[in-house]
Parts: sequence; C-alpha cells; structure tokens
Amino acid sequence: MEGSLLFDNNFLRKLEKFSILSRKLRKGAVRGEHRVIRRGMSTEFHDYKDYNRGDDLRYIDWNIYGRLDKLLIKIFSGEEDQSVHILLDTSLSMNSGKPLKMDYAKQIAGALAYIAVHSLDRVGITSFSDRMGEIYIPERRLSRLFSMFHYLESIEAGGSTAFNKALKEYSGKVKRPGTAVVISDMMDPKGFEEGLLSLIYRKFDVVLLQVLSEEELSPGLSGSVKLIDSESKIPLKLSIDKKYTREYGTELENWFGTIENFCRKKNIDYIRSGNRIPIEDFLLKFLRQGGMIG
Amino acid sequence: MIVGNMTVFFLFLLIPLVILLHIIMRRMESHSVSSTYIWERVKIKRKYTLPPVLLLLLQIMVIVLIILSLADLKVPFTIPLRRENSVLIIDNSASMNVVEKGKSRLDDAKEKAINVIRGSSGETMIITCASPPEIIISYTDKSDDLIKAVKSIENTELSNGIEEVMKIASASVTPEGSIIMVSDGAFNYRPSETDNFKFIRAGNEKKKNIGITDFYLREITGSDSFELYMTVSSFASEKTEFTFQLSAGDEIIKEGDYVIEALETMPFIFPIESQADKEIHGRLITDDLLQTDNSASAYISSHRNKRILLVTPGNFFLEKALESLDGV
Repeated sequence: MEGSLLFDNNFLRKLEKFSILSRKLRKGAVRGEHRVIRRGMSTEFHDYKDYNRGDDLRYIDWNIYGRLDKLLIKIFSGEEDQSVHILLDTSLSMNSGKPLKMDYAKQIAGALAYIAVHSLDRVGITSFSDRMGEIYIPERRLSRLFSMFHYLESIEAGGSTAFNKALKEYSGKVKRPGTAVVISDMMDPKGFEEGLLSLIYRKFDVVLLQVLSEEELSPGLSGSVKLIDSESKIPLKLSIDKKYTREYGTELENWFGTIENFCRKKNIDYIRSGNRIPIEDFLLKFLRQGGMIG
Repeated sequence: MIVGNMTVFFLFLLIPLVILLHIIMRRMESHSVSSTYIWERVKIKRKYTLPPVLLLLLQIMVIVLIILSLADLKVPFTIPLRRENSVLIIDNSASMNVVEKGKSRLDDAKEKAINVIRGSSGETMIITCASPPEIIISYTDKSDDLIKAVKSIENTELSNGIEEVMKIASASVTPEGSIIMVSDGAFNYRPSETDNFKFIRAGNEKKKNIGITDFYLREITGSDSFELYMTVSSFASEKTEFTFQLSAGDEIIKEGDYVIEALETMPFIFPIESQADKEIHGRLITDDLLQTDNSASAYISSHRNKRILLVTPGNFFLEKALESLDGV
C-alpha cells in the first residue's frame, strides 16, 4: 500500500492492525443460535458453554458428549459484512484552526476508511455542507481506497453547515445501512438532533466525531472585537472581558453536555477532539479507548 | 443663573477627550472565526449588557454633573414654593425701566416671576409694587391665568410703593405662606422676620443710579419767598458725583457739584425768591442708568389760595388769637 499526502506508510501499517467494530459486535459476541438474516454474513465457532434447559439441541457438540460425557453448547460469533459510511462535514466552518479542522477531519476519515477496507468491510465517504457532495456507496475493494483518498484530498471547504438537512438526505438515499461515522464540528445553530435521529431510524449505528479547533475551545480574544462568521459572514460586535470569556467556556460546556446527553440516550458513540491532538494519538488512543476500533 | 466658578468650564474639554478615547477603545478589531454560534448563545444569555453608546452618554453625563457642581451655579429665581398660598410682588416702578443687556429689568422680573409660578404648587396672588400698588390677580392656582397676568404688567414712571404693597401682602398672606418680591431692590425696606419674605433680584445687582426722591416748595409765612425741600437718594453701589441745577423758568438760579455716598440720602433746602407763575425745575446731571428720576418740577402760581374762616362774634378767645395775626 502506497502512502498518500494524508498519511505516511508507517502510520498506515499501524492502522492495518485495527478494525472498526459495529455497535452490535461491541455489545458482545453474536451467538451462533441467532439466525443470519443478512446476505454476506457467516458464523464461525467462538466458544463452548454448558448446556442449559431450553438451549437449542442442534448446537450441542455430540462429539464432546461422546468423549467427555458432558453436554456443551457451541457458541458462534457473527462475522458481519459491515458497511461503514463516513460522513464528512466540509462546510466553511471546518476551514479554520491550525492545523485546519478540515485536514484533521480528512485524516480521520481516511484512516477509518483504511482500517475498514483492511478489515474487509465496505466503506464509503460522503461530504456534506449545505448540500450533499459526491456519495461513495460503501464498497470493499482495496482499489477503491485510492480513489477515496484522492477524493478526500480534493475536497475543499465550502457552503454553510446544514447538519440536519444533509444527514436526513443521506439516510433517505442509502439503501443499506451500517455504521455511520459522522465527522463534524457541529456548529449549526439549527441543531443536530434531527439529522442523527434520521440515521438511527434507518438502523444505522451512529458514531459522532466532533472536531473543534483550539481557538474554539479556548479563544484568546479580548477587548472590542468584531467577529466575522466564516459561513454567514455576519459580524458580531462584542466587548470581551474575562467574565465574557468565562461565560463562553460555560456555554461551551453546556453545549457539549447537551450533545453528550442526547448521544447517551440514543446509543450514539460520541467522541470530541481538538485539532491540536496528534491524529495518531486520536486514532490509536481515543478511538480504541472509546471502542470505535479494536 | 449665576456662575460662581467660570474656570471650571475648561473641564468641558474632557468631553471630546472621552469621546475620542471611546472611539479608540471601540475601534473594532475584526476576527474571522469558524462560527459565532457559541458567542451568540452567550450574548443572548447576557441580559444586562449596556449598549456602548449609552455607556458613553453616562460618562459624559457624569462629567457634566461634576462640572456643574464645581461651577457653583446659583439659580436665584427658582424658589420652590410650598403648597401654601403665596403673594408674588412684581416691581414695576420707574427704576424697573432700566435696560441692561438689551432687556429691561421689568422684562427680567416678569421672566423670573413666570418661573416662580411654574414651580409653584399652591395658590398665588400677584401685586405690582409701584405706588399705588395694584392687585393684578387674586389667589388662584391656575398657572396660565397667573402667567397671563404677569405678562399684562406694564412699566410705569411711578415711585416704588414697597411699604404699601407690603402692608397689603402681609394682610393677604396665610401664616404658612410666603411673600415673594421680584424687584431691582431700589427701595429702603427691611422686611420683618414674620413676613416670610423672599427676594428675587431682577436685573444686574450692581447698580448705578441716583434720583430726586423729594421735591416740594413751602411758602414762607408772611413773605412772598419759598423754600425748596429736596432729597437726592443714591441707589448706586458706590459713591456718585453729580451736578445739581435749579432753574426758575429758563433762568438757572442755583448750580453746584456734589458727591453722594452709596445708598445714602442727601437732603437740600434752597430759599427761592418770589417767582410767580414760573416752573421751578431741579435737575441732576450725572451718567446713571435711569434719567427719569433725575429731574423734578414744581410750579409757583400767582393765584394763591385764600383761606377764609367764618367766625361769629362773641368768642373771646378766638377773637384775641386772630387779632394777633398780621393781615387778618
């Protein structure tokens, strides 16, 4: 595998060790007694357990019974042909910070795509702002990875954030749901709930990765300033003192709390990151700790 | 309005300085941010943020208040009246015709009287102060009528009738009420403590005026000669030099230079030989504010009144008394 502008080869090799875990898998091993109802799914032996009354007799290992005179039930784990839908916010608000939030988000998207393809999962990347970008329907082909990387590199920030509208549109267009990884700064005054709910209603496992710049997390502004919104270009005149800065911090925490509460209630995995955290640390540490990859 | 300390007005230069500082401080530095979403949320929750312009106005107001307090301003005519009835005396005597800075003292007095009426909450009565005094309007609390009455007061060439007017005012005012006089102060009257007297000066406090306040002839008994009794009063704030001319008809019969001290009264007695059918005219020659009171006249008529007493005979004592008089 050749490196790209986004990643070096060493990092890509580290990524190959990981695979994206769907929420169902992370909940626990899928037992063999569950019928595979989706095409492309198979079962493989995982473990034994003692027979209990009511267990399906078809899964008793009669060979063991013959040798050990003990009733044991075979347990299978589900090996699902998983579709990973990476939804990347490319609105103008992502085009800020050092490094750019956009580049940071692209690297996360590329890394997740790389992990997914090497785990033989189907992966697709779609950008969104106030409209949907080119939709890459999830595929498993390794050759597709190059074109996805090129696509990621070619994406330029533009438009305003329309989080709800974009996710609703996407959930309506996609035929086969899977794990939806939404990467965004979520700076949308219209909220985020409806968009995420539309994915949940379509049976997506939703992972929300919020990327914020250091300037957003702790703005070093003071005095009389005119803040120009990068998307709406509407100026906001403020006299920022220490109290105002404290209130900003409080409001930011409140906002995070709202997102966390919503995600907790709706079983959405939510991870927040600042753009100064090295991408390797974020992927290898935070995603693994959060259970996104394993 | 009297300004006690004019130099403090230089502090008004602070106002443009504050405005300049405000402009410099408010010069907005533009920052492009990814989103103003969180800032907007904070701003919405901030309920009590004063607009910058209001802050500037408050600062200017504070400066103005400090300057005005240091300027030691006096507003002598704005005496707040209590609810009780008040008698407002407006002087329209001759001295009120003096014009200072393009405005007569009477006009100034009228303006100050109107201010008093506007600040009053009780009933007010208005009396003019010339001799004889005149009640312009009786007690009323209708300020429009009172102001109309004040405006109707006309100037006169009469002397000041302070004593008479104070008698009327003292009799009319209620025990809790007050007597307010708007005048140039050209009178010699000291109100008693019980009068509850308030004085508002009209015109400039510094005066320069003298005048003939008494001028009358008395026939000397048993001769054709007369004596002229004359009083010159000073209303000036400093001593005044003047020349007095006394003429009979066109002939100057007496002339002299005199000096009168401030607020003093100078009596004169001049003997005048028989000047039948002539006008005796006295004139003060000086440069003062009011020329009207600088001259006075009397007329000696050849047709003298004869006094006749009808007496019936038989009154012994009266007959003896009349016999002792010459010409009877």
